[in-house]
Amino acid sequence: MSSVTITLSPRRGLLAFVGSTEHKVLGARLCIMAFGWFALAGTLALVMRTQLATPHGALVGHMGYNELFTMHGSTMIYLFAMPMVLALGAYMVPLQIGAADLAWSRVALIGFWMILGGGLIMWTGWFTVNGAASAGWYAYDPLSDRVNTPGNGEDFWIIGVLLAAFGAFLIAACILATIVRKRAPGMSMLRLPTFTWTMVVTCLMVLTAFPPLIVAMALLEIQRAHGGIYTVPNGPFAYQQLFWFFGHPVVYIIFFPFLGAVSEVIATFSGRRWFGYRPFVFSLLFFAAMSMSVWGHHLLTTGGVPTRFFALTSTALLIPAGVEYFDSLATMWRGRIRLTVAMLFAIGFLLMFLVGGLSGIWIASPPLNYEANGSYFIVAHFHYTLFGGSVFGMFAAVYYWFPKVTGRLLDEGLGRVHFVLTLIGVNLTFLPMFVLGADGMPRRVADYPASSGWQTLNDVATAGSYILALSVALFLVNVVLSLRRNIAAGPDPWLGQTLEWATTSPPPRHNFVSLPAIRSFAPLLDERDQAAGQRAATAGASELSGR
Amino acid sequence: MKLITLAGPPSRSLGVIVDTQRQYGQVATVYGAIAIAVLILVLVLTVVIVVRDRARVAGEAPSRVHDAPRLEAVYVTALTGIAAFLVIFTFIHENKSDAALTTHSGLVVQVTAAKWHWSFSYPRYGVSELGTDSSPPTLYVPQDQNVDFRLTSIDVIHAFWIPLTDFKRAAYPGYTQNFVLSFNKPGFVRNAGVCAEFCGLLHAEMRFNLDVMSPAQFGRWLSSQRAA
Repeated sequence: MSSVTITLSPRRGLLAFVGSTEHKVLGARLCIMAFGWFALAGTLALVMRTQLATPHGALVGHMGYNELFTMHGSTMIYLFAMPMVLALGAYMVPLQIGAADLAWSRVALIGFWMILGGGLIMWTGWFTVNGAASAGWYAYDPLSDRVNTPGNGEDFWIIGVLLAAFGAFLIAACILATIVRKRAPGMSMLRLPTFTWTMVVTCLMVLTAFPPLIVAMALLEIQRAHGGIYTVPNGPFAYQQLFWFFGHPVVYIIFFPFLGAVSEVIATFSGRRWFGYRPFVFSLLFFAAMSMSVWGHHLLTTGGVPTRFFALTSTALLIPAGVEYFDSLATMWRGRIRLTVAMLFAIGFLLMFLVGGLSGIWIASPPLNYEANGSYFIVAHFHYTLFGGSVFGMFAAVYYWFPKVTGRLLDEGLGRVHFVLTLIGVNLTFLPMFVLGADGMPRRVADYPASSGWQTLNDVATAGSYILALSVALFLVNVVLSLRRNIAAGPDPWLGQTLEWATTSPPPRHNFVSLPAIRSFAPLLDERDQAAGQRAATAGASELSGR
Repeated sequence: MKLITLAGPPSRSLGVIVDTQRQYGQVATVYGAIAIAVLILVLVLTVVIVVRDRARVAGEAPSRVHDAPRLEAVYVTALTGIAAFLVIFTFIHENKSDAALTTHSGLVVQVTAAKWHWSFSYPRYGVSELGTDSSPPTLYVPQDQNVDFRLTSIDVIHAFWIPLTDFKRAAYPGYTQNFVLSFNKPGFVRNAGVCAEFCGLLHAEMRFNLDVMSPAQFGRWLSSQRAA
């Protein structure tokens, strides 16, 4: 085999690169692609924040602003967060369960190209006569029909979302199949590492939530082209139901793997086994099941959903979420805490997501939701969950696994500055939005009256967004510098507990030369504990013989 | 003045003045206090753990305890209790704020949302207040009376929101939403109402003013509009 590889011409090498089905190549590509979209969508957010720095901002017009937030939200959800989650899963799940590769890896490869192609098609909208899609990331009908949103940008957006969602669906299926079928001997389901468990529930949610989205989008395009779909009585409301049946689970889909990464980071840098493994796994499954029964809380002001049912199910989510906090803090409790950058981001994740979670319980209460719905309060809430939660979790994951993927360590000094800037930036940007929303500022406005008194808080938010941009730039500098500095990480720089640390960094083509015995979800910790026990026994024996 | 007697004291038909703002305030106070307490608790706990266990001397091994089923069961029970409290507390107040979701025989205001302006009409009196994209209309209402709103849209989904009332409703084309609100502070508020559902190009400009008048003033306004 290797001689064949050597004789490949460069052209065929390129083809091989494009068509590589290796899970690590796939995961790395998904990750780099997702980060590219993150930077682009973040840039759109900066333009929006600059527009809102003054009342009657003149940087972009209303149309331009509507395109900006539509593309910002869609890109962040479909092209950044979802692929990033799948990137972590595609790269780490086979390693964590001791598998040589992903199941159905060609299907996963198709998924990658569908997401990339979908993103490119979506962004092609900027070059059409009427500009990019501008009906918001949930594209309610009839706003998104051809009369109200003319132009091909919206069609490209629908096709882009369809492709990206289908691609994500395929990759999630592959990751789940890998977990079900490719576990190493001894790796029972209740010995899966915590991150892999979060991928199990994530893939289950993708497989159940994405088909309604795919259907909703296909019907939306037919509606645009031919009409007659959502024009039936209550059609617009039917679209809302379909969309949110996907739209709520998706925010858990782009959250749970980061929680999983954070759980690995906390356990590793506390030098302890993850606390309360079984309750944790159960809470994840409970969360995933409940994620299918809370979508109506997006529609509490429509008069079309049973508000009490959705208030009940949504509030009940505090129980599994509380279990996750308990387990996180209990793992740190009496551990030997090392405040690496990954650990700082993990702790930041816990605290920032808490703001998002508590405000989520707030808006699950109908009397409060009647006020907050459609306002900046909601913007603040979901950015605390998705930036304070998911993005902090992503950076924890990146600082933690970067040495495994590249074989090199990221600079901890720059990383600390990156962390502090992100922490300041996220709070400056999103905390004022709670106040603005409670004071009556609606979402998705390019403009606000000078008499509203909202400028100061908007200026704070704008300043915060620049700090966030600076922090991301600093992270990129850190990546470039660290790769250039080339400090070898070794197979296990952190005293990791799971199987990915039992192989070289980066791992070889088929991941493992040999596997340690798997007796729990933390096999490397078991090994170290056993060795420590033997050392203690030997020391005790030699002490005895000396006397 | 005669018009006012025609409208009748609407509170009679409902029994109470609908006060969504008060329900919001009461739920917000309790939820806010709990949220801030939890936030502080977790923050303090995290800082204490990090400061204490970061200083752990190298020789001292981390704890080997890796679960506490009984403690966690007690904790989950407590969480369930908190969730139950929040849900019941919410339901009690929702019963009161959802009293707004009704119709009664008082003053009826027909609200029509359109891209990108509001219009209000008082069908019983043949009076209308039309907005345009460039000049927002004013919603005139009598103080301390239940006002019966009939909300609809002629094009896309909009949402009617007066932040002062802490209440909003979505407006659908071809469908009418009924709700009752009351306004307890007199005076004119510029840009008091907004559209809270993204509705296209000029969504940001889709506002209206609010003028809460004494019943006598309101009666005079109605008759002046009728005369005009």
